[in-house]
Amino acid sequence: MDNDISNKQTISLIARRAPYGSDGARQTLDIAFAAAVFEKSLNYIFIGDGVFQLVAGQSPKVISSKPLGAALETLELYGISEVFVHRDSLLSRGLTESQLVCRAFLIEDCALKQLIAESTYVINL
Amino acid sequence: MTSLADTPKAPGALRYTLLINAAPQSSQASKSALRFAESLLQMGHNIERLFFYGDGVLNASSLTVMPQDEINIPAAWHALIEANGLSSVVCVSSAIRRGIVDTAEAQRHELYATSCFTSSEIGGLGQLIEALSNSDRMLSFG
Repeated sequence: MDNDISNKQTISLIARRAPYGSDGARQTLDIAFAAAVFEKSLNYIFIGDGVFQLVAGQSPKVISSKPLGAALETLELYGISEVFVHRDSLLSRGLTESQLVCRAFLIEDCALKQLIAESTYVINL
Repeated sequence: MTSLADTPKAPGALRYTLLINAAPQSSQASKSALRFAESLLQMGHNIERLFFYGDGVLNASSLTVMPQDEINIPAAWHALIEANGLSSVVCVSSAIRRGIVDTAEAQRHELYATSCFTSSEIGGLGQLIEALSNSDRMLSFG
């Protein structure tokens, strides 16, 4: 496949798990950084319990886990600016945009569907 | 095992990357991935790369022992990869956390044993991203 095509590929990462109950959150983040190094077009979508990953001020050391927030704060430095949060998931968990650790676009169901439909690859961990 | 990759490529054959994220013993996911990979080759499609990630790295364990009446999934992956000359990569950061090491990693970390089938290479996530660039489809399991 030639470079023109591969440069137009978009990867959507769907983060749908709470940050520390399983390693899905960390694995998704690692893929995001790898994709950024290869300058891939990337959508990073937080949905369901995945929105808890973005909440600022976490102290997971007390449960022997490494905080995710510090890495999520650096997404923009890596050129990952297409960060989306599913609005209903956020609101139904009693959270607001001001509690998030990085800048993210709030997104509704239909826009989310379109984002996924337009992606070349979807990785959902 | 006979090579399935020698099947003539059908017109419209596609290149697939498979991302395997589940351990062989705790869910059906890696069995499904194995059967899917076999079917792809039988139908004349191409497998660009198998990428084992997270608990999925346990599919490359050469130290797995199964009861005789149960399938040894890691051994079946090994046979499929060898027979068809597939590219198979095990994520290094997932692997060493779970005790999946080849000779180089065992030396680097001063371990006394190796546990990774030689048919798979221990590598990085960059090899997943690279494989996607050369694939028409990516499927993830688990």
